[in-house]
Amino acid sequence: MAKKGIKEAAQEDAQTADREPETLYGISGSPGIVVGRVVVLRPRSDDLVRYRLEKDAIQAEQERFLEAVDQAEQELKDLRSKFEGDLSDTLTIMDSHIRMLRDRMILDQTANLIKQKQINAEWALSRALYLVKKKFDHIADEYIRDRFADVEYVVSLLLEQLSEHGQQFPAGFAEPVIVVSEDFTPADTVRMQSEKVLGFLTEKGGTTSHSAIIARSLSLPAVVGVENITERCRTGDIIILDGYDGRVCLCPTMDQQKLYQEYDRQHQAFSDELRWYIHLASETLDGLRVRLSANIEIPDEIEGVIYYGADGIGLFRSEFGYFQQKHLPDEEALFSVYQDLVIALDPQPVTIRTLDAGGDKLVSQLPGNKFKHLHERNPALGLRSIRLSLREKPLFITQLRALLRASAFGRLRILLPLISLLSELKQVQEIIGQVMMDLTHEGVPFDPAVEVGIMVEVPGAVTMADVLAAEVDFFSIGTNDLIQYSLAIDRGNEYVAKMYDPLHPAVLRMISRTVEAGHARGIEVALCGEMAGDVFMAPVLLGLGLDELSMRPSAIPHVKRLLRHSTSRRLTGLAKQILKCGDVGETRELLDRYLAGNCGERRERL
Amino acid sequence: MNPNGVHCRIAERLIKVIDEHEATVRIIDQGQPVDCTSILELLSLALVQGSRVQFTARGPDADQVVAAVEQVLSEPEPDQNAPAWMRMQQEALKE
Repeated sequence: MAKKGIKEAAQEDAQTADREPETLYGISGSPGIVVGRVVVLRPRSDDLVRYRLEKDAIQAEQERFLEAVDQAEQELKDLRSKFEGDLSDTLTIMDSHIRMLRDRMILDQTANLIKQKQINAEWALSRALYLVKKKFDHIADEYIRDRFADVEYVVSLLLEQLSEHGQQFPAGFAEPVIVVSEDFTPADTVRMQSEKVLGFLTEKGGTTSHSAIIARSLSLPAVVGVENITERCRTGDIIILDGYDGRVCLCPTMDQQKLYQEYDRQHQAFSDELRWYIHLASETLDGLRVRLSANIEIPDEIEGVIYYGADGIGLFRSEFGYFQQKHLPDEEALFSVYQDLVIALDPQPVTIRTLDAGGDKLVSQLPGNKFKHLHERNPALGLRSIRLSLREKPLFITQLRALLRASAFGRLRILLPLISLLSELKQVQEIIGQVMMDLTHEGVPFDPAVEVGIMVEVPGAVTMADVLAAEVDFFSIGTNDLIQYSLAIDRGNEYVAKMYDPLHPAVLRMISRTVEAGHARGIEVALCGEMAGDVFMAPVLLGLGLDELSMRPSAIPHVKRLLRHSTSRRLTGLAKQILKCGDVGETRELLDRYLAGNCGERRERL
Repeated sequence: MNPNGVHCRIAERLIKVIDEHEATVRIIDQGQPVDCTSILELLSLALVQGSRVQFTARGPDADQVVAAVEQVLSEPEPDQNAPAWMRMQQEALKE
């Protein structure tokens, strides 16, 4: 027995020996270090989740598939019972569907593929379907060939069941894993439950890509923009994911693993220190108060908002309510989410942005067939955000009704995205007025003085900020889009992502101009882009006179620490100097000097 | 045979009658014997009106099952006026 053990160990050594430790660099998406196994999700051509399984997971995956078959069968039988006593033809067709579920070309084939190819059930099922299709394609008779539609229908039922039981995504893994993919869609990230995921690793994207934002909101480490990573690691590999520095170590040695765990411990220790700031006021040494609020995407994040001591919610991205389900949400569903948030944070403000679909949150992924065939050549400049809302009025009115109703329960602020034109704003105001009238007639309570603000994220809106400021209660500068639109850089394009620089003088001047325009009209100006949560940029933003910085909840204590070590005079002085800079290099130099001199912070990380 | 050939409904009925009998029925289409338990295999044979196939049945109920199969294949669509056509040859090879 001892001999066998040695032999096995030698074999294992031989296997690992042919793969040298290797470090790859990408972009830091979300801080934190984890060591764990990876699951590689395949690049997709359709909406299917594809990944390879570990050997141990095969049986569980087959069982998951068989369970889906049972459930789909039950579903069909329930459906059949509703037609009982009806035309026997209908019933016979339903019987044939029930039979197809367990047909060997579907059931046995899929179960075999799971085992042979070590792939997940969805992938195996789609392969089995493809094999059936090949058979049917040879059929000359059109009527019978078209029966393939019945097979597709049955398979779609199965896929539906699988996705409902895929909640422990990725299924078949007992331990939490690092998920690797080309990129993640909002749908993917909703499907993934955070307790099953250690971190994210993607081929595409920059710091503000969707995957990075999600990872940060879930406080999970992420590295994005690592070339060919889906090819370079295999499901089951152990890797180190260093979200602080945007590094990945493949096949790490034990020493490397220990070293990284030590890095992580040091970071943890620092965040322990930051905890002291959670319950302190967000103000400078000389008493200037700045609201530090939270950006969130899902209602579950409210715990983090309260834990990190946020002064309210500066940005609730309402999209998730829309992409989560098969149907568009109704007024009641939206209302109950908004109401919960407002009540939980009362008396602090909860700023809810109206549907901001489009751009990288594809409109065609919205539930309902209406949007399925929308193809835009350039979605970033297309039918998105407020433009979609104004075009699909019933959709917009449903959301406005829910928002207004929730406004009766605390301090809710409505934030309109992507406003680029005064007349667009006026159109929205008219609709809001109409909805208010309807609610009054129906005797439904709401706050008639509810604050309505706009996102300033289109360069045109910056230019017209003085005019727009006269019409709204607050501004919120959305730097993610503002930078992308004003510098003509797609933040998700790995070739130019590095040029996406929030410290570009043009960006800082636009922020400054917007703040001045807002203050001239006596309204508050907030900033809710990713840069608000970057402690190395916060001094400039604070110096520019912003009234509120809204960021991921976990960044609040760090920014607050910086704020509490600053004086308003020094911050303003810094901003004045920086506004004179002609290039990013100069800006950075000034900032570095300031951080080292005033806050004991250095831009270099571990 | 049914004017539309062996489609879902017919295939379902075929398999059902075969199920009810104690016999193994195979269908031979262009030399390839196909076991009559898979509805998808049966459909993919694309039996249209006028197709010539052979059925073989083994087991205690072989005779009855052949008669039943014959009946299903010759049945008219319940809601169609078209007369039933039966040009197929079925041969029971009883052993």
